[in-house]
Amino acid sequence: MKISKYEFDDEASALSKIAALPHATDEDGNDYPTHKHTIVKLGHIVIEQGEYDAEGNETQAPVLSDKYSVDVLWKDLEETDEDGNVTINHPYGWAGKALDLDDEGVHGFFGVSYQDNKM
Amino acid sequence: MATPSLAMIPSAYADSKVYSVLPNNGDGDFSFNRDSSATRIGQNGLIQTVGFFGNELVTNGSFDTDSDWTKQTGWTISGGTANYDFLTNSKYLRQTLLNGGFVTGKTYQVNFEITSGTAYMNIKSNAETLKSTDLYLIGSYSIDVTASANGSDLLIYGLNTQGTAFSIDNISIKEVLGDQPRLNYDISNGVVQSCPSLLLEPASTNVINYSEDFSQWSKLNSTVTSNLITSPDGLQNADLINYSISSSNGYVRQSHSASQYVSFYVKYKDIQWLMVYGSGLGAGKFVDIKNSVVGGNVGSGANIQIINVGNDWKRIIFYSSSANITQTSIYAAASDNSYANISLTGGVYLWGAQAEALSYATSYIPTNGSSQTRAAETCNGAGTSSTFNDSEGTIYFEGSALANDGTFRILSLSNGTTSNEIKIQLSSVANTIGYGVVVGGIPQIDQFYTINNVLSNNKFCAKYKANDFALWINGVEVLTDSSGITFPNGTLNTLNFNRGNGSNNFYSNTKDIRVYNEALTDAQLQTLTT
Repeated sequence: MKISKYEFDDEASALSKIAALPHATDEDGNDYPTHKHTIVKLGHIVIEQGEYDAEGNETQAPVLSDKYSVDVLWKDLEETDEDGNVTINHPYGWAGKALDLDDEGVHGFFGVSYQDNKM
Repeated sequence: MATPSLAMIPSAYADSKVYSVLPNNGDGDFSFNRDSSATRIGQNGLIQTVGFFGNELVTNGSFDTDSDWTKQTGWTISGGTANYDFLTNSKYLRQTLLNGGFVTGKTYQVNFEITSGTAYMNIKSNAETLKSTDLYLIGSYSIDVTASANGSDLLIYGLNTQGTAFSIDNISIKEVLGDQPRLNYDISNGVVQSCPSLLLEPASTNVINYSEDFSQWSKLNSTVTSNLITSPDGLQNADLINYSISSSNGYVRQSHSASQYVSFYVKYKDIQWLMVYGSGLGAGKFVDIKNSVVGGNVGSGANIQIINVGNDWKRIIFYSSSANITQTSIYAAASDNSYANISLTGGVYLWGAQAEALSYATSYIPTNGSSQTRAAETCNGAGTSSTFNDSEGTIYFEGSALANDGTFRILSLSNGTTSNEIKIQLSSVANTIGYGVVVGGIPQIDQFYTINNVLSNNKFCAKYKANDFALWINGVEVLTDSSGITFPNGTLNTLNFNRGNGSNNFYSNTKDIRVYNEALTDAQLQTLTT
C-alpha cells in the first residue's frame, strides 16, 4: 500500500478524479467502487482557526485553504513489466496534484505512517 | 441437529484471515482486509489497538545521541545522523533490537533515510542477510523483508567499493502484522460479555485532532491536569478537567470538521452535570454523568446517548440529524438546565474524544495532532462449490447491526454475482430485515420484515428449497414463499459479508454464522433461532 496527499483546484476536480477510479453500477443504478483504495476528502483545510464567544457562537470565521485536499491510501497499484520490474504510479491525472510533505500532514491513516509509505 | 457445512464462530484469525470452524480444510475461511490499525474492546474490557504494524524495534533510530548503537571503525554518530566514512570496507552499525528482534517467518518493514552521499550498503540480522548490497541515493526508503531465521541484532554494513561516504537517519523496523480482524467483546451495562463478535466497520475519520490531550483544547474557567488516572485503554492517560467558575460559564472545546456524531469518555469526580454543545448545530444537551441521566436542552436538535463501559467510565455520544457540528464544547453545569452565569468548582475526567461524519459512532480512533482515518473492513470468500448445496439449505446468522443508517448491508451466499444469490439484508428502512433469493437473474423470494431492534443481538435463519423458502427470526417464522426454484448444481461457491460483487458491505457484529446443506425442519429452525 502507498499513501499520497493531493491538492485540487476545487471540489469538482477532485470528485471527477475519484469518479474515474474503477467502479461498477448495480441493478438499482447505484455506483459502488470496485477498487480497494481508501479515499478521504479533507476538503478545504483550516489554515487559521475561527474564533468563538463564550456561548460557542462563531465571532470570526476560520480561514480555509482555497485548495481542495484529498488523502488516499492506495492499494494494489503495483504493475510488473515483462522483465519483472515492479513500478507504482499515481492513477491517471493524479500525479500533478500530488504533494510531497516532510511531515505527516494534517491527516493520517491510523497506524500507517505517510512518511514510511508515501508514493 | 444437522451438522453445518460451514461454521464461523469468531475465535481464530491470522493476517488477512478469519478462520472457520467448519470445514476444517481451510475452504471455509474468510479473506479479511483492513489497511490501517483499529481498536477493539478486549476480553478484559479495555480498548486495545489492533495494529497493522507492530511496535518499533529500534532504539534511537534518529541518532539524537551517540548511544544504543555499536559502531565498527568507519562509523560515527554525530549531528543527528550515523555517518560512514568510506575509508574501510564492509563495516557495520549494529544494535540489539527490542522485543527479541527478528522472528523466523515474520515480515518487517525497514525504513531509513539517506541524508547525504550515496550509500552502498546491505542490511542483515546476526543470523542472515535481509537485504543484499545495493546503492541508495539521498532519499527515504521503505523495504519489506521476511526473516528466515531468528535474529536479535540489526547490522547495517557500509561498503566502499561503490558509492560514497554517506549519512543515514531515521532507521525504523516494525513487524508487518497485516490485516488483523477484530474480535470485539461487547460491554453491556458495564459488564464485558464472554463471547466476542467479529466487528466489521466502514471507514471513518476522527476529526478531533487531540483525542486524549485536553490541554490542547480551548478552555474557559477550566484547567487540565494531564494523564492523571487510568483511562478505558488501561493506561494512565486520562485528563482531569478542573472547572472554577464564578458567575460565568466554563468549558473545554475544540473545533473540527463538520460531524454528525461526537463521542467522548467521561468519569465522574465531583461535577455531576455537563452540558455538551455543538457549534454549527447551535444546540446542546445536559447530561448527568454520575447517574447516567440525560437532562434538558439548549436549543433544539441535539441528542445524547450514554453507554456504561465499566470502571465508572461512560461513553457519551452526542449527535444531531446531519453532519453540522463544527465545534464541540463540554461545559460544566450546575443542574440539568443551568450552565451559564453559574458559580461552580469541581472536576471531571475525560478521555477519547471523537467526531465523525458518519451517521453513528464507531469504535474509537485515537489522534494526537492530526485527524486519523480507520480504513474500511471487508470479510469475504468463504467456501467453494463443494462446500454448499445448490438445491436446498439453510443460512444461520447471529449478531447485530451497527446502526440504522439508511443503507442496504447484505450477507450473501452466491456465485459472486447478483444473478445467483441468497441474501440476508439489513434494509435501508430502520429495523427491517430482507430475505431474497435470485436464480438466473429471476427473484424467487424478495420480502422484508420489521423487527424490534436490529442493534441488539438477533438470530436469523434463511431456508431455501424449491417451493419452500422461509425466514425465521428469534424463534418465529416471519417470511415464507411456497413458489420458486433453487440453483443448478455447482452454482453457489462463496459466502460473503457483502453482496458477492463487492457492494453493500455487511457492517455488523457477528457472533455466529453457519450454512447447512439441507432445509432444516421448522422445529430445528425454531430451536436454532431461539
